[in-house]
Amino acid sequence: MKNKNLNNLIKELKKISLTVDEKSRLLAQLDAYSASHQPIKTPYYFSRPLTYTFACLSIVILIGGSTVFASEKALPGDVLYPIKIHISEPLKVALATTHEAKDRVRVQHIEERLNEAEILAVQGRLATTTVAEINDSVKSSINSIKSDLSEKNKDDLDIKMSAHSAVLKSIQDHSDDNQKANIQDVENAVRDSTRKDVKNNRVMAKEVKNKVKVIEAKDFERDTKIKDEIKNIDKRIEKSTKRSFKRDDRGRDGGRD
Amino acid sequence: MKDRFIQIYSAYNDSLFRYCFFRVSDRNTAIDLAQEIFMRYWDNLAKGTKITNDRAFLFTIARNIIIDWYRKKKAISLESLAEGNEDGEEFALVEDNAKGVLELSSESRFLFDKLKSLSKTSQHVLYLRYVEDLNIKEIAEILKINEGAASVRIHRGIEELRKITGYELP
Repeated sequence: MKNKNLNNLIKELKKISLTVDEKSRLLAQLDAYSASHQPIKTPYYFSRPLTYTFACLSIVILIGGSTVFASEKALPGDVLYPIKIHISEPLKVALATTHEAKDRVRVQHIEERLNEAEILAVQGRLATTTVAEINDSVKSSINSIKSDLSEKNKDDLDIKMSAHSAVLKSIQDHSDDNQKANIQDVENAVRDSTRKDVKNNRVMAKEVKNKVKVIEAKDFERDTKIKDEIKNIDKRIEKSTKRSFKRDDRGRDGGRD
Repeated sequence: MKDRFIQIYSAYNDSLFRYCFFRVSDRNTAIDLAQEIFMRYWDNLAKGTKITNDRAFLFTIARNIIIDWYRKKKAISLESLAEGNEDGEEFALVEDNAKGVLELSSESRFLFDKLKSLSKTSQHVLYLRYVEDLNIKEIAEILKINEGAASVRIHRGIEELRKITGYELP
């Protein structure tokens, strides 16, 4: 009975509408407007992708190369971050000449999103909205390139994603509770994007060390506590990979569990 | 292009008028705003804007036009300025009781008044979802939030309504 009343309210509200005369009058006015606002085809018409590329190049020239260069280090929330995402990165893809080169650049951008998440997590600044944006970006980028990648490149991508997963788990272990959940969300997105979980092989270990170096190299002003935390992450990963190397040397299969 | 425009106009003129009407509480103003919405829609078609969802696009234009209208009228209350809009949301169901604009049955009147007492965020999402039958993806696009957040807002709105009325929305 109660839901019926709510449904009745919704039905009554939906009855509010234009009269036939009002609709006709409105359409006549819009007809006159559309007649005087026809689309104009310019003689200088370019294809849409080319137009965007020229627009991006023009913006780059106007703003100045130094600004674009400075945006390379920007993190979500920084003033220059939109320039990094919407100008610098699309430009790099556009300037790559072959299909394979474009895919390599796109993979770099996927990794950059995860680097940003890791750095923010170490800084304790990984917000829920940022997580949603990063996850959407990673998922859609991976979906757009996965079908085009060769098997070797797919394996490489899995190794990179597994390495990021390891780094995120390590950061999560030493984060505050409010950061733990956000880091877990990113790690879930990374795992969902990985075809196979690569554990404890030498290539992956090297990738992990590279990622930690990236986090260390980023120019952020933090106190020694954060830098010590990063060194601890590095040491823990080095310890676990040394154990895995010993297992590898003893002839066990360390490529896939 | 003209055919598409007329098709879209026929499909959504009532929805957009109604949405404006509940926001500005005046029939003629709502018609003027609806006209402006369709004019902007035409302008976007003419310049080749890529529109993936016409309905969501129209409601996004509507929302922006209504916000501009309020700013011009300087009708933003001190209360809303002080508390700040929830995520920039200025929606609130408005009704000019002096003009007796809405003729509702007594039970519907009771529920409508309860609906107006919900938070602005809840009013907006519940209106879009249950009166205009927009889906979560469309609501997210209109409010410029992700689908998860839209879903959470709808759920919270349903809870809020249930608490004050005891009624459940489907």
